[in-house]
Amino acid sequence: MSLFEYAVLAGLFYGLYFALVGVGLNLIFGVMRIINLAHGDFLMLGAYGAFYIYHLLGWNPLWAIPIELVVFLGLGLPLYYLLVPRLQKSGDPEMLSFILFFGLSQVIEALAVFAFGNDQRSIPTSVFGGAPIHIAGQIYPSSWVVSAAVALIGIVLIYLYLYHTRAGRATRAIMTERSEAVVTGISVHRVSAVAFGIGIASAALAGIFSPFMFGAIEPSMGLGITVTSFVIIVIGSLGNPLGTVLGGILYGEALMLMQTFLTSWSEMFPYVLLILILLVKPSGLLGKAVRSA
Amino acid sequence: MPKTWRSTAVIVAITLLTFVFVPYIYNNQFLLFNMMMYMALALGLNIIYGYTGYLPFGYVGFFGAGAYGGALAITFLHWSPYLAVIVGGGAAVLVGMILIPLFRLSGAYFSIANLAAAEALYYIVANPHLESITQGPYGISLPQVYDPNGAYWTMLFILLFALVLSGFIRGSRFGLALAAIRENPLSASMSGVNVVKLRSISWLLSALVAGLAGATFGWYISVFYPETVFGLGIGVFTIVFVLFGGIGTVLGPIVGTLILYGAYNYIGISTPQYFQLVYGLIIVLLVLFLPNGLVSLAKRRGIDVP
Amino acid sequence: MSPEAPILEVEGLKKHFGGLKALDGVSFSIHPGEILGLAGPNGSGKTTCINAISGVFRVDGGQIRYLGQPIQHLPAYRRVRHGINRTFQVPRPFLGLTVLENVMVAATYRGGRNVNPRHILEDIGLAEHADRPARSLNSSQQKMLGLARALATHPRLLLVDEIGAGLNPVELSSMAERLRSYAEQGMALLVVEHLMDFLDRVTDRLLVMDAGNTLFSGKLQQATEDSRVIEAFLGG
Repeated sequence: MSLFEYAVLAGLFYGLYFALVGVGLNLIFGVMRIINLAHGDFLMLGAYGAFYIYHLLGWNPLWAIPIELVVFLGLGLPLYYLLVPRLQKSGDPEMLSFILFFGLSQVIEALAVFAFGNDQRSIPTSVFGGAPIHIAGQIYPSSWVVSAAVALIGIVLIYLYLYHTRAGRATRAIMTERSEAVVTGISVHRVSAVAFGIGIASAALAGIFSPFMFGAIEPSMGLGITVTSFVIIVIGSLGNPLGTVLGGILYGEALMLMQTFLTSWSEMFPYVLLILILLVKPSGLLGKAVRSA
Repeated sequence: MPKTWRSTAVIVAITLLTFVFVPYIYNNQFLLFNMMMYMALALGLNIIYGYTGYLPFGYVGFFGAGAYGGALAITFLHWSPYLAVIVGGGAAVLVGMILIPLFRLSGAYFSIANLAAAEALYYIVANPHLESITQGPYGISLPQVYDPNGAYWTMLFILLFALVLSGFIRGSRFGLALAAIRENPLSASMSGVNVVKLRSISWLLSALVAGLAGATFGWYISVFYPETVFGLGIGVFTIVFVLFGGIGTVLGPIVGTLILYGAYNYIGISTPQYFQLVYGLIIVLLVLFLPNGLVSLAKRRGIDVP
Repeated sequence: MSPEAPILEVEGLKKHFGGLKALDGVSFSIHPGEILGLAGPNGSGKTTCINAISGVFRVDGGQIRYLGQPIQHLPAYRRVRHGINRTFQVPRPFLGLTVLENVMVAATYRGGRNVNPRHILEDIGLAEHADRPARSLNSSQQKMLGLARALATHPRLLLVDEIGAGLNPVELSSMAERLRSYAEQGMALLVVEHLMDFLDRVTDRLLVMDAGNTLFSGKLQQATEDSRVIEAFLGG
């Protein structure tokens, strides 16, 4: 069953990558209870960053990593203060954020068309060394392996931040009990702004590898990726950033197996999966049942 | 008769006269047709979003279901396009029934799941395996019933139907109950309101309007592809028009569509990204500064908006 | 139905949330015109009890009989139309609707008898606010609005959830009088309250719950001398 083994290992690479795609959306939801519907558009911007770093400067796309982390963290902080505190003062931040960030995604997409044009773009997969990599008797493009490795590092760093720094512990405190965190003197806005920055920076980081994992990039790719990210974090459990790893891997495996054995139906698969999970276990596989009083 | 019903009668009369007589002085029929279509869609979306607070992000799924339902009735049953339009409405209602379990989800989860449902429906219709039924990705062609004028008057009729329906809901105890559900479902059921039933009725009415409009659109253009009638852009436009005009009113969706779709035709058609930029900014600013849309400006000045 | 027959009989009611047994076999009954006080420490299952009877969720075991008929399978709105209603501990008005519209929803949708929402508002003391949005009421006014909404459905059994909390002494005694007058007109009431003093003014029949169980049932006077009750209130 070598086709099956191939799909399973490919699913693992894709799964780790998908975990990185979703983790930022989940972090922002977990901390701020807002839905960043422009998540996929930040990923798209990250992708174009890597594209131009490669095509204009001739640098390896890996150089985009440090540059974009700085740029997007720096972008996230003011964006947070501009939008989020105002939203949270409103009656229904979850639904309003959904609409507001949808508007933002339209603005980003329109500006991206102005800046980058409507054409599909790609980066040759040979940038990470031409030779495909042999693992367990199967052959994989080196770009998949690099993407999965970077995704793993990114997630480990987020884990270390959340569990082994003071700011990270404050972040988790806000996630579990917002009102308590306020009382204990945590600076909610500062901690949230950093989480917001990390959230969109992780999306941009995932974007750097999207030309390899999705084949091509274009300004309108954002909304589809946002929905995919939703599938991933809903599987893992909403508001639990590390559940995203489980969600990403399950999603990657299922997608690869679908693409291998049920090709023509694989495109509708993420959507059907999302609906089923929301209906059957809305709290996600790792989630505790959340009940409103 | 409630005051809302009288003002609705006035709006119906003005709309009727406008779309009957403007074609004599303005010859871009397709634009007028689309204007009526988006007005009808905006009113339809408003029935579920404005009155109950559930935002169907995949509203275009009903539109596409209507277009394909109508087209299949014409292609396989050789029915007249007028009957096919009703079939299209029925197809959308059927999809709406299948999606009723989504109401177990709240707020944004409902919206996302509804979007996913519309996308899934699109991939089903566009699947090459179903070519013998839906033509898959190769699209529908209906030259045998091509009749833009017939479709134009049908769309006007659908728009008037949507208007009357909206006005009736707003002035009736049904509308009051929907508002109660929007504000607090638990208290609504403690007021004796059958929340599940009323919400489902408004959902299916909302689907019906989109399905009728979709089938008529398919008939008007007579050649279309899955992405033509399932394109998320149609649903996005509709949501923006409703938000801009003001949710939960009869006039808001009409005014919102008139202004923004008019602007779209002025600045948007050749370079859509300009318009995308404009309405993206409009959404952001509305949420931050005017969450109840244009009509709330009038309401603030004490003017009662139907 | 004879006047002695209870309007509500609750038997062996069970409800658990995950591992937590919120109700663990509670039984009691109420007759028309009677007020039953329900007390107990926080988390003892008082509100869960009201939620179960009013149909907010389905119970996991036991029976709820209303006028002799089992009703535990009916959805909440059907129970409302049969004459069961309740108030909420934290008021849940339709914030965006006017005060009058709040009451109108209930008056129109409980089939049968015609109710004039304005009369109810006058009785409850909110008539002058009829056209204001419910959002603009203060919290004790919102509490009164919740009571008005419940009354608009013409309940024969009213479940009152901690309506005394946050009221000042004058408001408390008029509320006690109001609840007693409902009972005198034949309404049956279940009054959940942790203010013993308030309960004392409303009724002398008391049920004390602890950890989902009935701890005590009898005269309020005896409860204050019952060692288990004292321990549950002071020791827990």
